[in-house]
Amino acid sequence: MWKFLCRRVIHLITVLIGISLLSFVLANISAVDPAEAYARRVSKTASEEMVEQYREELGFNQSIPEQYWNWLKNVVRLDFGNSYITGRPAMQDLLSVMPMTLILSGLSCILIIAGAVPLGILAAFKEGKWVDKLVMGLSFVSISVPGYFLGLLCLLVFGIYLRLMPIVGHNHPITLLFASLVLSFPMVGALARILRSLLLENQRSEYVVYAKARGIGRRRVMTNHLLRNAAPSCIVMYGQNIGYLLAGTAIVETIFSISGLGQYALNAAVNRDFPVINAYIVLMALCFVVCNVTAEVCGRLLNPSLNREDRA
Amino acid sequence: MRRLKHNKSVMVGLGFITIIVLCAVFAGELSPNDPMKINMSLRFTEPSQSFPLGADAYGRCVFSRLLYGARYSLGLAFLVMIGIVITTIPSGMAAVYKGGFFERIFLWLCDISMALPPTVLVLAIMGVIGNGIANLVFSTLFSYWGWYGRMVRSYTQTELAKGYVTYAVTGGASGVSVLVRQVLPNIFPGLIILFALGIGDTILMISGYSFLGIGLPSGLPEWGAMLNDAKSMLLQAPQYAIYPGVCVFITVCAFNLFGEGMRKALAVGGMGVNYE
Amino acid sequence: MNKDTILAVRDLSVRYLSTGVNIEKMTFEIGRGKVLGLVGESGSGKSTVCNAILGLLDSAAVQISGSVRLQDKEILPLFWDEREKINGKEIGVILQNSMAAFNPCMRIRTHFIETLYTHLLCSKRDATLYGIELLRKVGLPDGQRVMRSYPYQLSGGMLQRVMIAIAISLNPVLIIADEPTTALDTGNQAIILELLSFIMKEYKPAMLLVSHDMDTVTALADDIAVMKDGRVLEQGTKTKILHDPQVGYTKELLASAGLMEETDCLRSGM
Repeated sequence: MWKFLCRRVIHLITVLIGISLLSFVLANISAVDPAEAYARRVSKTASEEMVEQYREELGFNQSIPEQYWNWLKNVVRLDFGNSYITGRPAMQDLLSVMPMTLILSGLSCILIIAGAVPLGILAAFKEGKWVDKLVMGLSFVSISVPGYFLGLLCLLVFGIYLRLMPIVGHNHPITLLFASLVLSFPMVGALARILRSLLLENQRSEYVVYAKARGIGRRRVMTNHLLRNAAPSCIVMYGQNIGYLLAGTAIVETIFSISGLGQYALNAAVNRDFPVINAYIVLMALCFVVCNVTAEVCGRLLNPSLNREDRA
Repeated sequence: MRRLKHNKSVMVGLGFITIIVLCAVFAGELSPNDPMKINMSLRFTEPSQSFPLGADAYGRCVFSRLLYGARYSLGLAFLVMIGIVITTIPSGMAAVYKGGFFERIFLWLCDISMALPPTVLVLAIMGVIGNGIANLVFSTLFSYWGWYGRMVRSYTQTELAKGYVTYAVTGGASGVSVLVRQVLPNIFPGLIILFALGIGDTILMISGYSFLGIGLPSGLPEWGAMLNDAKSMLLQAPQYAIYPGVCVFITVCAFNLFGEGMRKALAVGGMGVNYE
Repeated sequence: MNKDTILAVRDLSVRYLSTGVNIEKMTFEIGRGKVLGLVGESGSGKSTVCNAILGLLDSAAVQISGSVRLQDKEILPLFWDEREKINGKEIGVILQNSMAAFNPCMRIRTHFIETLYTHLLCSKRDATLYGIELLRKVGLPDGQRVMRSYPYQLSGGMLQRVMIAIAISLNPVLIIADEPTTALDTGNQAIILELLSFIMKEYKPAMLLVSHDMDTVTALADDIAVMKDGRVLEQGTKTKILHDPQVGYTKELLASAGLMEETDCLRSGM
């Protein structure tokens, strides 16, 4: 297990290096001269001298490898510079808006499990019957529906017509709840499908035959064997999806007026706030990889045969 | 081929796809008005002869915008998908065949692309290189590239381990010939399914980005962007949110139906040229 | 019915609705402490017989007729949940593919506990201790380690022995061994056959031994039935089949196993 973790950490570092290279390259091939962009932001009419001054200050006049090295040093210290918009340190800004997004994602995580697991088990149990077809149909709809459409519909029906949900005022708990529902909806369908197909696939396994031959009944086969074996793959998939959850909050936050990470990052992207964008990439990469690795570790704990070295 | 005709999902999906593609291609002939023409005196007109679905907040014909919107939503998704196909298939197959260092670099690139959720990557890239259709296509392509690259690699790996490849190589076939004439036809069906399902996903993603305001210049009749406009008028005119949303939904459903149907059809039979 | 007859199969017929090997009107009996060897090539329907007796067939995909009585109780129409008292307790099972028969996510200990708990309601600790005792009997003295292991950590031969240990754990009256040695190398095959012989002497169950290998069958069986294409071509005591085979196919099987000569069969039979 430790070998696996070490390999993954090294992998993470190489990937992060790749990402930092990527963002650095992008920043430098953009047509906009960063010093000018910064100067323009500070004051609409920036003179040549001021641009030069900023260039000197921000280090844009150094050679590329030097710039990259400096940048890398700062990244390790989590110093991405100050946001062009707010003037505060970029990472600090991002972290200050994270709590809302974490609440949103956390709620969604719970909702996904609460929805997908029973549905998946139900559909597998009643394979072929109308319950199964209903669940499959619903899950098909859930993966085909655009999230923003669902969100707007939600806003329309629950906010305006039924008046169940406040649409003005930030971050009301009920709004958060509906937002989580909308955020989690596509994943519920996807996960239910995967769980169902894993359960059905495992039902044809030799160890189920042996269990039946030993007199193990239907309920116990489902819990002890089928679910136990379907769990690792599901958990790994779930972990990957948590990453997507964290990232996909931008749409939901925009619709429901929630001040979270997604909206902040969107704002930064639209306004070309480079320090914040860089910090955002690294932060999200870290979160994403942590979620993935945690999920994989859980998967291996549950299915130890994945630990064998002969499996690539 | 005959089997496909009996498969309901594939046929229904294909049917809808054809309709939508025809709408996109012949949008010019089918739309009664210019989708971009602003006419403030005609704001919010009721559905009528000349404006089949009425006019939006700027007096533009909603029906025409929906038809032209098909061009953008479908066209961009197709562009991205074709770009992915062209780049991942040759490089993935070559990387597996060469193995060693090449494969490592290939996997490393895939991992970078997959290290971030697509939205994050697109936000970041667009934030740095700016708006515009080309940039949107490029960043979406890059964010999906890794996943497809890995799938191509794993399919190719499976095929290369099979007997008929060894047979061909010992018979004296060159690397490229083996890859193109033996392996490619066998991994093609599986890849088609992936890409068909992928178009649905890509449409959702791209219209999502337009909804957020990234990428497309404002005013273009793209379905996601239309939903963005509708957001601010939700109270007065909710129907303008429903039309484009339903369009996206039906289109994605069609592609998903097609993909799922193909998956079932190919799992049963298998349409490969397999000499094993 | 004779008090000593454990398993009585009469006119058992199985017809698959799509693919599968159909069997027609199988009739045989197995008495206490006796081994019936069912021998035939692949596709002769041997496994279908085992599955029918164990109630493992998919009732929606087959048409079954006939009678299977286990100690005077009709068990053929019972499936899955209805089999809880019978499978595992009255009937012990040894399957061919030991590496696939165990759940890769469960330790051996859990397999034991699961089986024993379903039938006996004993505590986990008792089940584990009993299991270690059984493992010692089947030739795995390091019971603690085996119990702690996951299936992928043990070899095929060891797993086969664990399967035998679980099969005898509840003192069944009937043991069904479906190709118990086919997946093993020759060394392990001999060991397992010796173990099965020991089980017969010690526990005296009735055993249905299925194999495509005539050698395996003649090593253990008291009676032999030869199957081909879903039918029993010939059956009788071992001595009769070996010395006086009636049907041409039986002679072929014996010849390919090198058992045609009287001296040969005396040497390889146990």
